[in-house]
Amino acid sequence: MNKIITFDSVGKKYGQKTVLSNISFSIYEQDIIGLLGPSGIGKTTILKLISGLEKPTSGKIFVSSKKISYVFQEPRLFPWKTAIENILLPLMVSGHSKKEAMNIAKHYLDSMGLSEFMDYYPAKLSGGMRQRVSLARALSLCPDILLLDEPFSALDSKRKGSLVELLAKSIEEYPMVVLYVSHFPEEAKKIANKIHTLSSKDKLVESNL
Amino acid sequence: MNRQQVLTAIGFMLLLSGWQILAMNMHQILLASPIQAITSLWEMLHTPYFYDNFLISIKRISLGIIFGGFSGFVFGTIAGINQNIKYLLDPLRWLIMSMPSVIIVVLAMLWFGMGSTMAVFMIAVITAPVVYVNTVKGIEAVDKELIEVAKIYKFPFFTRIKNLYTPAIAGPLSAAIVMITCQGARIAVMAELLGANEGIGYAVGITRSNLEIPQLFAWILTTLFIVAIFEFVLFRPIQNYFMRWQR
Ligand SMILES: Nc1ncnc2c1ncn2[C@@H]1O[C@H](COP(=O)(O)OP(=O)(O)OP(=O)(O)O)[C@@H](O)[C@H]1O
Ligand SMILES: [Mg+2]
Repeated sequence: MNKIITFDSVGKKYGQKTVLSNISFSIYEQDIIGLLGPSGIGKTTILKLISGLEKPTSGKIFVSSKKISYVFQEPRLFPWKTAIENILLPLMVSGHSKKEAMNIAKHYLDSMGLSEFMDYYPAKLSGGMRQRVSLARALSLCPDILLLDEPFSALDSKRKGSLVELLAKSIEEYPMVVLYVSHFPEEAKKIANKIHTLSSKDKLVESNL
Repeated sequence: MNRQQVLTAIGFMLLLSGWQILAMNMHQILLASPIQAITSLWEMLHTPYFYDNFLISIKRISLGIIFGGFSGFVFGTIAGINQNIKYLLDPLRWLIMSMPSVIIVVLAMLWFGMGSTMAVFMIAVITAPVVYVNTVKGIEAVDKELIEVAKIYKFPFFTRIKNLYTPAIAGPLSAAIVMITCQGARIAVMAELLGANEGIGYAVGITRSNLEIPQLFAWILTTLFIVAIFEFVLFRPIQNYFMRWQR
């Protein structure tokens, strides 16, 4: 199997504070990783390193694809753009024509059950709706790597369950490498086929399901 | 009418009555009454002299705030994104903002002589730092989290300017633009009074030397009218349009 992401003795400091040290692991094609670990241990930092938002202080990171989508812990929509415009913009930046982008964006909003709300500004949407728009934005780009940082933590458990299912379906339809950060092993196991647990700043435990 | 409109209208009436009362108690060589000023303005409206001076001032104010606003915006955007450039530009910003405007008029007259170039230059120089400072502040306050989104989805430079920075600073920027309009009109009149042969400021100078007090106040009303047009007819609707996502 092809390696998609490799961490080779990676260390990360913020100023004087060491968050990660000597972390090594590989992620392969079709891996769907549930990334677990206690709060403040460095899970978000690992996603930021993979996405290139942060650079490692030591060691090396290889990422084979540049097509990365990232759903943050917060929805992070552009408040001055409507739901559909938030999805259209990255699509058009990535080279789709306006018309193509429109069709794709509508399809994904529809799959999130949001077609009625496509012309709403984020301020008019509920927290859960915003996070679904954010997820639609990430999926619509058909990324090779999808980074999900506790994407549903702000939602009630019923909503969460249906979105997890929706996500699982999308990944089935369009295979990609997924890193799913969560506090809850049961939730991660619903989607993941492997679990990585960051138990201390220099210890990442891998297990297959 | 809502509470704000009612109170603003009352404040306006109080101002007018205050003016009327003051005028009744002062010699008419010092202060014209509102009625005299408005009558005189009405008479002036029938003369080409009014329109010649009115239009040239409008032209100078518009050009001045366009140049000043645009350069303040461009430099402010660059300095807001790049801190090194902000530090480099800071002494210049300080110099212009601390320089008394009378000195800028004197220098502008020395460099450009009398007339439009001088007035436009002055307005531009004095308004640019206001827009600059507000733009820098606005850009520095742009949500770091949205900047990360723009990085993840690889927005090119101009896409970021258009879809991230510009909307984010629309609020502080439109406040700055309203501010520089008032400022621009005030500077234009002063510059014209001191160094031009046409325009409202020039006409004000004439009324003063001829002691035509009602005409003087008619020109004052004209200046306020110009600012009101810029602010309420031009900029408020633009502001409302750009800030529509907040409502
Ligand atoms: N930009 C930063 N500057 C300084 N310290 C930071 C920065 N980002 C994160 N940290 C610190 O790094 C550590 C790891 O943070 P990180 O966000 O990766 O944790 P996490 O595992 O995602 O936690 P949570 O589950 O609560 O989201 C924390 O102690 C945090 O305080
Ligand atoms: Mg985190």
